[in-house]
Amino acid sequence: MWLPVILAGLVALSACSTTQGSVGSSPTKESFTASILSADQVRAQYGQNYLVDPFLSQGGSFLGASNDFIVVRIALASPSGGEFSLESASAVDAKGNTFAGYLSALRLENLAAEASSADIGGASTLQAKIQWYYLLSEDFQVKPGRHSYLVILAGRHPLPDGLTAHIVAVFDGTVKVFDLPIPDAD
Amino acid sequence: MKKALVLLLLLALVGAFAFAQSAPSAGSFHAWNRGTFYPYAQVGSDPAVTAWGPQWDNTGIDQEWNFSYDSGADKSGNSYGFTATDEFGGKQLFATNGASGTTQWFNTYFDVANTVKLEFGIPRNYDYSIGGFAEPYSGWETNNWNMIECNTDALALATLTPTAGFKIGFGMYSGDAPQLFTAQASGGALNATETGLANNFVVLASYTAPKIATINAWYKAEDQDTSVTNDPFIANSTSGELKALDINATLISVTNYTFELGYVGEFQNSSNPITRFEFGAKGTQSQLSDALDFVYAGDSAVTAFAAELALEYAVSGPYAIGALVGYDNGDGANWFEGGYGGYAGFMINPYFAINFANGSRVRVGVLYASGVSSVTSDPSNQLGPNFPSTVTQAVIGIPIDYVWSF
Repeated sequence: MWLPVILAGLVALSACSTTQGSVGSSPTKESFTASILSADQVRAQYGQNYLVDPFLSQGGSFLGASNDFIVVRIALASPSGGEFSLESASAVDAKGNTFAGYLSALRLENLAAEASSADIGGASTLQAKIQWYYLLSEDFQVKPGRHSYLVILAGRHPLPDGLTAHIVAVFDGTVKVFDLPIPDAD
Repeated sequence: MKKALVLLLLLALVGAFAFAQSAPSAGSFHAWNRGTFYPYAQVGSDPAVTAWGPQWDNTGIDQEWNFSYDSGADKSGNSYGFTATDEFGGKQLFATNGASGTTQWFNTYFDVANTVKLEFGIPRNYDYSIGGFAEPYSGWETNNWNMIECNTDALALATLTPTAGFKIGFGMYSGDAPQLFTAQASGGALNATETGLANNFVVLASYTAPKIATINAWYKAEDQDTSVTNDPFIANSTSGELKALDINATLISVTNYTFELGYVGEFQNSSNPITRFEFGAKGTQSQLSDALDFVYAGDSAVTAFAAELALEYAVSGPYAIGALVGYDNGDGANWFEGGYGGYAGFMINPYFAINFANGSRVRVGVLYASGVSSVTSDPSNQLGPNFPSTVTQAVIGIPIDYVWSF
């Protein structure tokens, strides 16, 4: 009986929604880039601590973080849209050894649920941020427009210096390989 | 039915391994402690009552400790872990759940490539520290069994995620399982004579349309006696089988805002079911975060409602100021955000907060509640304050609470 009421409410609220993942005006040509966000950038844009920001690695006063997160932003712009596929994402050293790997959205949601047990911020806030900003699937159809997605590479703390984020992705038939130097930890 | 369920889980396991991904992260251990120190005075009583402990607990500082471990995903994407919480405040450290002792929750899980999750433990019951009426309807969360609203001593839960954004689950309650540290109390949360599957189960489903909305639903059958207040707003007055349906939806299509709608129907007394509706909105804009919550609960005799607005402004660095403003009509269990449950009437709580980068937080404020209520507390469930009778006093308090990550 009440389900239609809830759904009607959702439809009404959806009327004021923005296009999912879209950023800015309609593009006239395709672009496909990737960049690494610093921890300060992540805090400034998504929240100051991990109870409200699922893209920060969890750590306490004495135990510290078990894992380090490398946050990569993938930005797509396309007037016509296309198929996107993340083929691989990892942090490697000069010899090709892997130190951090791709964290799936589901895995990130599990970690967020763990953090939210402190009841500050709430799981719904964290999961909403993941749903909105994170790459939810490795293969999906991108609509026309500008879009950006976060991808996290997680590795055992402390990560060594001199790593490179190696990302292979395909967008609209174009294969791109990104080798992004990861800034050394302070 | 059981064979079909087992077959489904086995198929999912095969699929999980087939699509597992490498994520070489380390196992992680976390611990946090949260507590409330709360000097207060009930200014309207004769004589005025003063105390230094949390009003709902009346035993000094109220706090809880949480320890959790997650193994991190192996090369196949499998992980395991646990989370354990013990709440105490001037009470015995290890004792039976309820007013005279501490409260403990425990959950252990094994996650196969984020596709099949098997969990077992003591689910979290209602408690003041759930913190606000936005939480009870916010659905079934991965590790937060309190969202299922169960009054039981043990729960086994299997969750299947066949595809990203879609989950189904099946859980079984146990009505007479041993506590962690002591034997089951007489007259405990469940009637031990009716512990069969038909009386104690929950089924759950969740679907997420990416960047649009998440819809959660669960249905449960739970046998319980009258000593337990199941609904957070209206006490069930009859014993026996409780059947309840929860449907809630979270809209996430507006950047930096979430809107939540929830419905709960409880049918323990078939001639007088309890209906509850909830609405919540949360948002962040630069330095300002805000939340609005509204709840209505009623049966044929009672109409309870409450609303609250929470605002917090990050002034500079870790420092923030905020305020909670609320109203509760006093016919429910009196719910107020921030752990200060138990008040009715008009409430206001301005505060100063420090938010540390590691997730720790300290909040110091002043609270005034006009305090008019037709109900008394339910100390067995620690839902409200330990008021001896009907609440009529206004309350002025200085709540100081914290959560500290180690």
